Amino acid sequence: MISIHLSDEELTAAAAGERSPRTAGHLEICPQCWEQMSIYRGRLASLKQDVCYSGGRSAIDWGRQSRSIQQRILEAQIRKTAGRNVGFVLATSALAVILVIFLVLNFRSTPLTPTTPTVAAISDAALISDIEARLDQDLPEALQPAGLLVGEMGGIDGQHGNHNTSHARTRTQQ
Amino acid sequence: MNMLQAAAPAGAQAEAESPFADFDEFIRLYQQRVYRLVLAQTSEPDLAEELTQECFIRAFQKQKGFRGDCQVFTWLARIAINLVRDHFRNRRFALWRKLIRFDASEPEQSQAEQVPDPASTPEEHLLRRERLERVSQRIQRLTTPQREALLLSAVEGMSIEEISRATNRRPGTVKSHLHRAMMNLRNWREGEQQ
Repeated sequence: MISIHLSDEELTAAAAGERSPRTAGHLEICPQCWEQMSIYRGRLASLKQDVCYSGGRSAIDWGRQSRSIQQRILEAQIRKTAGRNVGFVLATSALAVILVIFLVLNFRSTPLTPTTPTVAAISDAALISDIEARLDQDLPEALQPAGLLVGEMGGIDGQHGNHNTSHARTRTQQ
Repeated sequence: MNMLQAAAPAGAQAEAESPFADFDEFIRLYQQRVYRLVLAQTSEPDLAEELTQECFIRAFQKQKGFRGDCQVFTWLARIAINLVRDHFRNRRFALWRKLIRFDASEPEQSQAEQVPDPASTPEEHLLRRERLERVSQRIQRLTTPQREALLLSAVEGMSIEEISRATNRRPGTVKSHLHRAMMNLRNWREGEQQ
C-alpha cells in the first residue's frame, strides 16, 4: 500500500530526468505517479517536437547562416585589429602633443634676460624745454628749491646750452 | 584550412583538443541547437538568426574563457540566454535605434535576407510558422526563468545541474521554475480543452 505519492515538483523533476533514489524507487512501484510523470514527459516531448519543427530549416539556410557567422567573425577581427592600430596612432599623437606642451612650458619657464621696464617715452629735450618753460614763468617762492635742483642738473649735463642758460637764469632770480 | 582557422592566432591552432580548434565545424555542430533555443524564446526567426550569429561571434571572442568545467553547449547556451535577456532588456530602446538608423541600404539588405528558402515549399513554410505561433502562445505565458528552464530541459534535454550552469541560477531554483512552468502549461492546456 502506497500512502505518500510524489509531489508535483518531484514528478516534473523526474520527467526532466532528475531522479533521486527515493523518486526512482517510488516510480517503480507506484503506477499512478508513473502515469503522472509520463504525462509531464509527454508534454515536454510535445514541446520539443513543436520547437524542433518550427526551428527547422533547409541545409541551404544553415549553410548561409554558417557563412554569415564566419564572415561576421572575420569582420569583427578586422575591426579589432583596425581599432588597435587607431589606438596606437591616438596614443602616439597624444604623447607627441604632451611632449610639445612640455617643451613649450619648459621653454617659457627658463629665466630670460631681464628687460628694462619701459617707461612712457618722453624725450630729454622735450622734458628740459618743458622745465625751462615753467622756469620762465614767475617762480613762486615755495618752488625755489626745485629751481635750484634744476640748476644743478643743468650743471651735470653741461652739453645742453639751454640748461646753462636756465641755470644762470635761476641764479639770477635767486 | 578553413576561413576561421586562417584568421585565428597561431596559438589557437596548437590547441588541438580545444572544441574551438575548428571553429567552422563548431558552428556547423551547434548552430541549429542555438538557433532553436533562441527562436523558442523570441518567436521571431529574423531576430533568432541575428542573435545566433551574435552568439557565435561572442563564443569566438571568449573561447579562452571556456574552462571545460561544463559541456560546450551548456556554455554556448549561457551566452545565447544572456543575449536574449539583453535583447529584451534593451527592447524599449528599439524605437530610438530605428529612428537613428537612416541607412538607405538597410531595407534592401533586409529584403534580401527575407528571400524564402528555395528548398522548402510555401506550405512547409506556413506550417512551420503556425507551429511556431503555437509554441509561442504557450511559451510567452511563462516568466523568463520558467521559460529558460523549460526550454533547456524539454528541447535540449539538459539536466537540472546543466540548466543551473547555463542560466546562472541555483539548482533548487531551477527545479522550482521548471515545476511552475509545467504547472502553467497544464493549466493553460486544461483551459484550452474546456
